[in-house]
Amino acid sequence: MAKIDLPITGRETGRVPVQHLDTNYLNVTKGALSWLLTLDHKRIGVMYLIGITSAFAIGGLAALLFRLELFNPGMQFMTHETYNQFFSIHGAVMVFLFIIPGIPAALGNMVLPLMLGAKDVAFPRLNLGSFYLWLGGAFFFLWTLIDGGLDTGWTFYTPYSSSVSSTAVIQATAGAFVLGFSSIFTGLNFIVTIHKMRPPGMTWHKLPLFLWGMYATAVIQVLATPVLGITLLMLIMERALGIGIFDPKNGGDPVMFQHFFWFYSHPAVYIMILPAMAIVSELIATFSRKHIFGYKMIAYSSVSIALLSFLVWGHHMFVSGQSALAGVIFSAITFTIAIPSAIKVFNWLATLYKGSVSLETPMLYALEFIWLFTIGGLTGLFLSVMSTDVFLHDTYFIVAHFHYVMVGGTLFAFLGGLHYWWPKMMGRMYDEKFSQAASIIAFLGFNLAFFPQFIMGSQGMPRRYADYKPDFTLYHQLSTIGTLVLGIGILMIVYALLKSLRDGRKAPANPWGGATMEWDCPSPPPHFNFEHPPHASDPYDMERVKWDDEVQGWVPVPGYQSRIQH
Amino acid sequence: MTAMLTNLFQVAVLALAPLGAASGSASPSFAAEAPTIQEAGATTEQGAGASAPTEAAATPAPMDDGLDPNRVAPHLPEFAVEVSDGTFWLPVAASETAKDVDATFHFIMWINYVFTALILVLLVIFVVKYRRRPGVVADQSITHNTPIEIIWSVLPTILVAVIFWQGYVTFLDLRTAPKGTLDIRVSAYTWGWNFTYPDGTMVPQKLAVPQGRPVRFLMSSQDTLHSMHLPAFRQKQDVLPDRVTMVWFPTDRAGTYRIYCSEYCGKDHSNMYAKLEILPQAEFDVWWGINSNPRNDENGQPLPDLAYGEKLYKYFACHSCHTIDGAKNTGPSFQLTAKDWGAERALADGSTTLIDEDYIRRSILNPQSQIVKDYGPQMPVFNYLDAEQIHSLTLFIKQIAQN
Repeated sequence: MAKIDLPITGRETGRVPVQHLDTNYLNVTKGALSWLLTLDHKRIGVMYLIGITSAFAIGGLAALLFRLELFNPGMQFMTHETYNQFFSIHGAVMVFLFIIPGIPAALGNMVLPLMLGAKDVAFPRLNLGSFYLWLGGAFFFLWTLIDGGLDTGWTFYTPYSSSVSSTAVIQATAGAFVLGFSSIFTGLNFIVTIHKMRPPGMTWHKLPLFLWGMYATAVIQVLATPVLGITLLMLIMERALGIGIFDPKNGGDPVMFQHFFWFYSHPAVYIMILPAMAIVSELIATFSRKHIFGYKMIAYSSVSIALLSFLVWGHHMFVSGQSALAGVIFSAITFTIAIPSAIKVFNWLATLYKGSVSLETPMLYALEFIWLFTIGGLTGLFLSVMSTDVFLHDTYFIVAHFHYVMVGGTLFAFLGGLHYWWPKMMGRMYDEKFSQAASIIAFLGFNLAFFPQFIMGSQGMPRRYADYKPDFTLYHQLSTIGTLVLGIGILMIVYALLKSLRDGRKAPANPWGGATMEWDCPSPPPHFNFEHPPHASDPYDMERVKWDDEVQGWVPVPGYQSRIQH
Repeated sequence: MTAMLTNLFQVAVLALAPLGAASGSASPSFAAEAPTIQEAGATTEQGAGASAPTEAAATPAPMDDGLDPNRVAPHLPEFAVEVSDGTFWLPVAASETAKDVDATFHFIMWINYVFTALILVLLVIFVVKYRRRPGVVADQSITHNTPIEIIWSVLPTILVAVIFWQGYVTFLDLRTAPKGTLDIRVSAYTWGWNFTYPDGTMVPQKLAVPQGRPVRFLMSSQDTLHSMHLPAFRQKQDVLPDRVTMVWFPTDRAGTYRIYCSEYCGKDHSNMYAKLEILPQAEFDVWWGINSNPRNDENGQPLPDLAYGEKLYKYFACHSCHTIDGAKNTGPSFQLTAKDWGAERALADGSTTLIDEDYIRRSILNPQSQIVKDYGPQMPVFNYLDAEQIHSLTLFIKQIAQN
């Protein structure tokens, strides 16, 4: 095979590769339309990033306000109705507009083709369509916010949502319906891209773990989301046309809605956490400068989690009126899904062992993730055991549990991934010390906000309460203070990242020493990513790259022969 | 496990004994010694004299219970303070099954402690010991280790199998009522609870049961989903509009317990408390004398019509949607209704209706038939109110304009 000179990536040439390009994907074309009509996965990723961050701001602001309301018992500055609307908006916006699309659509879009050495995803137009569907869904949610609000909680339980609530349930569910298609399109795109566009040499067992995670996520997105779509459509029909599906007054069954809803929404929990685990696998390996431990176990555990996630929805319904037998079966299957999650944590720890660990900002997030996800995962045991779940169901314990998983897990991994790939995306380095401080403040704030909720939950405090009894005051006050600290941390994070765009040092092609393929192209990448698909090697063969003082980054070792034995 | 089964057996035996004794005695018979209306009247004075004077002084009328209506559910005179009696993690446990739940809870908590500590300690040790130093490179030879990976997959599997089994056995205890329970019908609505005793007596928002015989709640909802949450008994069960669901709890431990609604049900979800008292028989008789007839005041004396209406306004939680000061809430303010008495009122379907006694009656018995313009169809059906109660409420509503 004839060797083609690769002036940009330089992987096989032995020359120091190009670190920056004056003309890159950010400025190759100019004007608003060049962004709005772009088919470039990186630009779509950036637009997604702006979109989901805005959604996060709205959801976070709502949370901050109702936490302030809960600072004291009694109503402070909200009515019961406004409180109910704020927690519903918080939940719905965070779940449907931020967490579910968050990592796959923003970071995944940016990184997935780069990791494959590909020019783009398999269906660039579908990718842009997916973004506009997200915008459409966001538009419905804005409509909901402006006209009527939403007070059903993000779960839209019937018959409250279909027959009782006087808020804009149809707009909100229509929004979630449209967002579902956005999610399906992204998943479809990723599945095809990973199947068909892997570069020469990248066998399934050389696929970076981030891509295994994305693949498992995409399977859930494609298979589970249609069920949510149909369910929400039926809810809309019941509400608008009075067709009796879920409301007993019209001959429907409200528990059926819960089955349908959780048939999607439990797998959706793994749409949120699998990409987070995928990011952490990359971060731990890179910053330990060591091959990830138990690659196959991590990869297969992602896939087994994805498949098992379809069989456990009934554990949300132990007290809903479903039969005891169904409860027992769902409880038993739920435990089988706990094992692969535990395995991943052990594997990450083992990767640190005898590594060369440095604590740059992304690694801090990864370690914080392990800590928070461990608590979130272990407290899940209380909720999969039937007797304790009967007691803890719909209390603050469950609120604390899923915030440890979704925020402590997904948000912190998202932030870790964002800081990891930020130099690649934007071509700029942020202030390392400041970002580390921001990360630690957010971490402390998060624990202060949510740990007290475990205690008040196990003391019996029900969730979704606008008002509470005075004996829960201390826990609520700690939680509110924690939320404020978390808010300050997040503002610092945003400030540091935005500031880097103006006066950050120019990023080298490979600032962290990652061995996956996206670090082979300059920061930021050119429009076409790679001139020629590079030949893939083991994605965790860390000795493939070495530190170079001149470029202040890592460069490929010329003529490197892998010593990794599998 | 054996202890658990033995306990269940004991509960069942305890439950059966009073059942046998009570059969044949006069209604209402909730326990061995059933209070009759006459007995209740006789014990009332004694009860009021023994325990009520301070309470009566502090709460002169049901309308004015001295509590800030924004602070706690105003239709409830007081709450149980059970949290302070509990441990760091859990409130007081009032039944053997609750103690079984707690045992599982603490077992899992220890798993949590051990694994969290293990992971945290290893994390810190590895990060410190293997921190990046010049000249020291990572050991690239470690990529996997099959025996270790098998061990850390199998060990957690065994642990979770154990806790699954524990949880399963106690779950069956929670869901299997012993024979001979005192069955109380529970009707949940937005936002309140009605409890109906076997003799047909109904009390809203607070109930008492005599100590000794286990109680079973047979529950259904009049409108949307609610959930019966009894933290002291570690019990919870959703209450649905289209089926009857059940919880049970023993009543060996006298005391005051909280009932929460834990399934989100709209505006006043967080005010949907109820109070459960488990009383020794003598105290229950006193309680029964005062509370079994809503027409009675706190001394057991019958109220006049208007005062009765005033009491019912809070008793059935009308006030959580209808204000009497003209402020807009979920339903039209009663002040508006009183002011417009005899005039036409615009309805949501475009028609109008005359505000008179029959309009109030229809609104109570069949509220969905005449939704007022600009309001939603949230009102539950109150078709269990009798003519006397409707009359008293109507009187109460009519006179608001004069105040």
